[in-house]
Amino acid sequence: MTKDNKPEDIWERLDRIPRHVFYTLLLGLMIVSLLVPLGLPIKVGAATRKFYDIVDAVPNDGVVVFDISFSPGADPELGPQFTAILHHVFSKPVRVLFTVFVQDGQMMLQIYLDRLKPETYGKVYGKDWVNFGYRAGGISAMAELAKDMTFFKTDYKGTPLSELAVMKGVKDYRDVSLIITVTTASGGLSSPEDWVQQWATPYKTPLLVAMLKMMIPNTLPYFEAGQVKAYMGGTDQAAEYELLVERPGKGLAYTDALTNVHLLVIAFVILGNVGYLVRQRRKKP
Amino acid sequence: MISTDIGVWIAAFFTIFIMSYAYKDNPLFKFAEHVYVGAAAGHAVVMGIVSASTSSWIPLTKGQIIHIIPLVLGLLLYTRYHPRYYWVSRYPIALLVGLGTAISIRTVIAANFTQQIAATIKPLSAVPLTNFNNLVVLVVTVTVLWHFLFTQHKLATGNFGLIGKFGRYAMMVAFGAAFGNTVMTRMVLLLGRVDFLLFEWLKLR
Repeated sequence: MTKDNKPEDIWERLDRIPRHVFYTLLLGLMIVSLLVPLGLPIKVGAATRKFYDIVDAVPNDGVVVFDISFSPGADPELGPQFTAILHHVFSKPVRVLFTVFVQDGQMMLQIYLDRLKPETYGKVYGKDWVNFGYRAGGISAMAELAKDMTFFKTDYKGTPLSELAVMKGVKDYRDVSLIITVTTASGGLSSPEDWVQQWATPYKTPLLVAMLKMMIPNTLPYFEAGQVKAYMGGTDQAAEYELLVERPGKGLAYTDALTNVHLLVIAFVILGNVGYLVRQRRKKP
Repeated sequence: MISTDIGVWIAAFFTIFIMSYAYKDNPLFKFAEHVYVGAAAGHAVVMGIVSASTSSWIPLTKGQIIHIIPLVLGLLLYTRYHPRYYWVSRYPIALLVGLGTAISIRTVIAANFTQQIAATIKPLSAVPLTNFNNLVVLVVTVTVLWHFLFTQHKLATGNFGLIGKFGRYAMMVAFGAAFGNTVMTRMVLLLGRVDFLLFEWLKLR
């Protein structure tokens, strides 16, 4: 019933669908989609392909700076991307230097290293890869690192970097082949913009960004200007990368559910707008 | 077979508590929210202490006296809680602001201005669609900038006003794309928790 005791018609109901109805349908659809995946076809897009090709082109014994700047809240979206990229990087004969500029990043890095187990790729800590650990300082530390790759002095365990074979010949930005940042960080901490400002622009170091889907519009101008060489965002691109590296994971598992859920959201947007427009039209004399 | 890991059970209950807010605000949600904030703050404090220890305290104990400078500057920040000596904290803050600004400004002109302006007008390409895309970027950039010409009344009204109006619609398209991406991100975050409940807690697969 409306305020003036007239029964609500279908249009008014459409305009006022209780949020509980939407949430219940959403949750139900997610559960069904995860339990009974449809296996919808996925096509690898140009953006993901470019990202893959750049990682693949890193020369043997090249140095990859891999920055982990996300917290558990972003894990569902960045975890699948990180896993697929890390698998690809570890599958290549390159050296990997992990940097962490946000506090939760160290924890996330450790979780994924435990899952992927670098030793299964034949990678030895200190020889093929090193973890610098969390470092405060944001852009200041990032800028200093470009000038002196041993600026942190020790790894996360306190071992002097000078004792690690992986750092042999790695002096400054000129010895870095590629930077990959997996990030949700805001400006000043290790955002895509910070890497663009402190590394990609002054030193022309190739920069790849893996991020949340919602961060893409802000990062696209840097991609268009060539400051970011390639980007990934969201589980859909994670799924595409999983196809490229032939390692199915959460990205592919989520894609069906995500598609179905978006269809539901679109349906509700249309219903709500139709109800609103019809009611507005009726109000006009 | 349902999980027997106590950590998974705690995570599952907290997930459900947080999700219960979708129905309405309730004490279980409040409890979970406060625990989450407390745990995050605790984690940040520990990481901060570990960072200060590895970057300043340990080198200092090994005889690298220079590391006393950041340590003292860091400690001076806490004088802001003292009613009489709060002004001392302004010195490390001034240093932080000055340093941050200097490091940013060193490259921000090239990174965010000159290179972005150069990328607005790109040379012709052999691919027609690329040319069209480049043209859209140019037109949208100019019209959006035009929209913000508030001080020139003549340029914001009449036929000239149409240029700014086009820019406004272009911005709305951009906001729509940003909103769509945000919805997608939020859905994935929820999907991650549902996935956790189904497959790590209830082990339905």
